[in-house]
Amino acid sequence: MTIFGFNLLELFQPLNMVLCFAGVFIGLLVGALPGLGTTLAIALVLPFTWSLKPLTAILLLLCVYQGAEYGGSISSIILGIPGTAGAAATALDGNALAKQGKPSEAIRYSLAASTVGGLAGAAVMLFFTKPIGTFALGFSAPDYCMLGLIACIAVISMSSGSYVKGLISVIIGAMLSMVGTDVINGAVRFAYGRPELYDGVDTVCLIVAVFAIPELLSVICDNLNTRYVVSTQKEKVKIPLREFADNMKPAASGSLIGIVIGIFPGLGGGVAAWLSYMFTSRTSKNPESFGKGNPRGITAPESANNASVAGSMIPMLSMGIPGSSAAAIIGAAFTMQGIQVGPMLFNSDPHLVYGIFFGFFLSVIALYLLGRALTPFFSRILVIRNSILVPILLLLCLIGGFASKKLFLHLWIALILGILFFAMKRLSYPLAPVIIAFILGPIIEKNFRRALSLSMGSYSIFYQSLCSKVILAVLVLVICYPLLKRAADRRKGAEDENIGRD
Amino acid sequence: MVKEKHVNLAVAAVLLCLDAVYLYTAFHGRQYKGSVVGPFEFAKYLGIALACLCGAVIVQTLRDRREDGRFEIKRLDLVCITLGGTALFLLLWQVTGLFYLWAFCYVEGLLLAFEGKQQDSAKKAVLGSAVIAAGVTLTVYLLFAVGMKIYL
Repeated sequence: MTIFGFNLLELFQPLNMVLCFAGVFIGLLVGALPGLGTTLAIALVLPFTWSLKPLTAILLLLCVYQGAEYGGSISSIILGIPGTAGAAATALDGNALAKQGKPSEAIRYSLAASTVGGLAGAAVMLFFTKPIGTFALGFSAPDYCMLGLIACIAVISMSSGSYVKGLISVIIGAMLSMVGTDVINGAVRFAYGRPELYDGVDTVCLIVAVFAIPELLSVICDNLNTRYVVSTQKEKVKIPLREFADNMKPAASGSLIGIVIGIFPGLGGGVAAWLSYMFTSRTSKNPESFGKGNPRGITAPESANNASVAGSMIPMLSMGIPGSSAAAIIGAAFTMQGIQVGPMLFNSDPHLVYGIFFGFFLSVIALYLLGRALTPFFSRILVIRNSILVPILLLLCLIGGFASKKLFLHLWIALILGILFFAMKRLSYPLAPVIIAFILGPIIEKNFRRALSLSMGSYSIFYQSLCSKVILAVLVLVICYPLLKRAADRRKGAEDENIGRD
Repeated sequence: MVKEKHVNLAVAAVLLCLDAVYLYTAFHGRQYKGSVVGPFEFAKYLGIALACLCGAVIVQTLRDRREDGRFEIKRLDLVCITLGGTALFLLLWQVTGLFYLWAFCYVEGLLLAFEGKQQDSAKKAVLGSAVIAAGVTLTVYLLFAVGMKIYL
């Protein structure tokens, strides 16, 4: 059975099916545990994909991503503690409904909305990624360089933390990406005589250093002995279609918001979920019912955060620019497989691209089936203390860091960088930009050097064509917007203070 | 008591020192004649940018007139035990090659450190941790060595 030139039966091979469900299971497990998060779930699985075929590897990671985005809602609803950033909005009405003695109903809505969001995202990804990719073929070297910079800076622009600290994180990521052999000249850079570094800093080890070690050390500091108390009542997860039909509107609007927000780097499932929740509550006939167990307060954010998974993959596949840090880690998987993501992927390997699109639908179906079967089980997993989980997760991270290249130097680098990033995290340095800059750094540098080679060293190439002018304007806006916003906020604060005195 | 300002300055200083090494390497790297932009040019821009930004953080921190908070790492002892234990595990694994033995000791050591005080008796704590550590090690062996043929 062939659709768009892809034989669907290939997707249903035994290994693909087993890993699809295994990925959703792992995502659900890690996502459901408060404080661990989507990126850690994907980071844990990434090292073990190098021995798989490309389609199987990407499918596994997408399933983990989907599973984790839904899994976060389980602890959000049952405990009132979001398992992931994308599930924070779900806690408001989800936990309220659970406290009314209806946790199963809340989980029912969450699972159905996640499924709708995931399917909508998959459909948009199927039909729109290629046109965006075709449009991106018109971009030249300076355009790609500036797009990469926009992606790196947008991640920090969207956060409320220190702009300067965010820029430092970006620069550190870009500096680490320069370690190794230069692809243009063959020069070995920053290896300091260590042959293990000729291929650069290992991506998996860096992900462990940026996400896993700081996160697990933070758990040790802040909630090591937290024990979550869960009711032993059996949770049923049946979904009567008629009942859910009343909630289709917030699920649909949430899906659309999730897809659009997912495309922009730095925003992600958390922002999509909150925007969807706010939109639904403000346009509702009964806005006062939100926060008190309104099912629409669950379906809106949950459809958005699962739809944002597809949204974040659209720029990744069409332009090689990840829409989220989780998508950036999946981009690392492409690199590990020796595949260059971007618009040329549709010509060089259309089979893989359409396999990913259809595999996305499969991941959502697997999510729905496993969610129905396992949610009661996962609500009991929450009784496991962090003091038992942390050593196990640390061991898995070290195994993951070793598995791909089997070089101890990279593990030592991961440990030392992990300590540095832990200190930076405690001082409110955002860490996601490190990984995004690490992934995009080679693209930015390669295109920067290519652009200057074409123009014989003249920087005018960055604003010669109309396309370049537009992209440069966006870059300037992205750089200046947070500075102008903060200056405006400070001025407003000073005016309010003066008014208060008067 | 460690103030957050001091730690901010210390981290910025560490980054500046690392940046100095990076810039030294970039400026003394082999220059490729014939190429418009050599392999170390972009690194120089990054190094200079990082130096400027670290300078900005130092200036911002020194000029910040808000009340300085405490920089606190709760359970610093457990964090140090975890990091020290991890370093020791890596060293022993690298030197001896006996992954499963040291993994068992590593997991048990951390479990005892994290959970030890919760238990009524030391014997119970050691036994309980050993059971969990053995289970984890066995699962890792079955999953990686047997299942995925990844030899550690």
